Amino acid sequence: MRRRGILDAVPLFIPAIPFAFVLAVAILDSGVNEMTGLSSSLIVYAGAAQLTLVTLLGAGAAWAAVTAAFVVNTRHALYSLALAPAFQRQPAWFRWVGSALLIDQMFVLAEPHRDDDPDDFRRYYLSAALFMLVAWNLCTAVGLLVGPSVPTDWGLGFAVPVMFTGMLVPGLVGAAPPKVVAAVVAGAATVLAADLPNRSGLLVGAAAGVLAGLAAARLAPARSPQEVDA
Amino acid sequence: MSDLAAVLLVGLGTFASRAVFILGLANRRIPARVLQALEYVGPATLAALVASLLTSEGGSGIGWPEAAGLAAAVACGLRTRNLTVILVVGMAAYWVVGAAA
Repeated sequence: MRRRGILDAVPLFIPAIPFAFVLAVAILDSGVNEMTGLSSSLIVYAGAAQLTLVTLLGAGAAWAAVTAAFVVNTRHALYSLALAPAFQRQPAWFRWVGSALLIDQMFVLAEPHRDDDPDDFRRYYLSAALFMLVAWNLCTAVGLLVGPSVPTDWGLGFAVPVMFTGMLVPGLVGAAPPKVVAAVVAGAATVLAADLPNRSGLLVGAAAGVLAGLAAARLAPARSPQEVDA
Repeated sequence: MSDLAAVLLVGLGTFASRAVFILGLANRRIPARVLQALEYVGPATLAALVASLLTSEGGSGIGWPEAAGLAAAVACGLRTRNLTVILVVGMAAYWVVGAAA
């Protein structure tokens, strides 16, 4: 199971390589201390949140940076919920370690193995997760070393919004309409609130999007039984 | 707040978001409304981030190169989930239009 964990992890890690590079460039652009930026790969270990954090820290908006990174991270709670039954059969230490390593890719890998034998699940999960952790930190470090040799007039900073767009759009394909409403309203509200101090327009926009999504789901005529309020 | 303190704080928050059900609430019933709201947080935040990066003070602003790059990334994202492809296509459009402008 150990070998299989690593073999399964490799293809999922490949898209994270340019992501780590974009993160490294964002760290260099932001003026955040390089070692502090690098430490986020170990301490936070969540690409989208790290990218949000360093970009907004660079803009001098520390509280908006922290809050926005929290908000970006809430999706992990859904993974945690989905995998909780599998973790109930695991020793306590692994519930802590496994939680800390639960990145998007680990959810994709672990979800089909939820009902495996608990020992197999743990070996599979740990080997894949440790591979991901080491690879992510190495790639961030390499990006920080190589990044300064990239000329600034390439405008690599624009890769950050492109990356977020690339995470957003595929998730909307075939999604329920309220999700699309949430994204569109959030974007529009953020633009309208762009002049608020410390980039807090971002939080206003995100909140508006979530509320709009909830409202749209209420108005939608077809509701599946699970969606009826408990 | 120092940058390192911000990193540590976000690290704690990230761990909490990952551990909340595995360590804490595994056997509780979660209100359907809360789960539904969680579903919308992801797309809403990502859209808000893109908008904020482009339009906030100190942001890149939106000129033709940015518009072209985003449009290419969206068109590409409708067809593939592959982030590397989306990144390359979006940046290529941004560079090409930037060079032409």
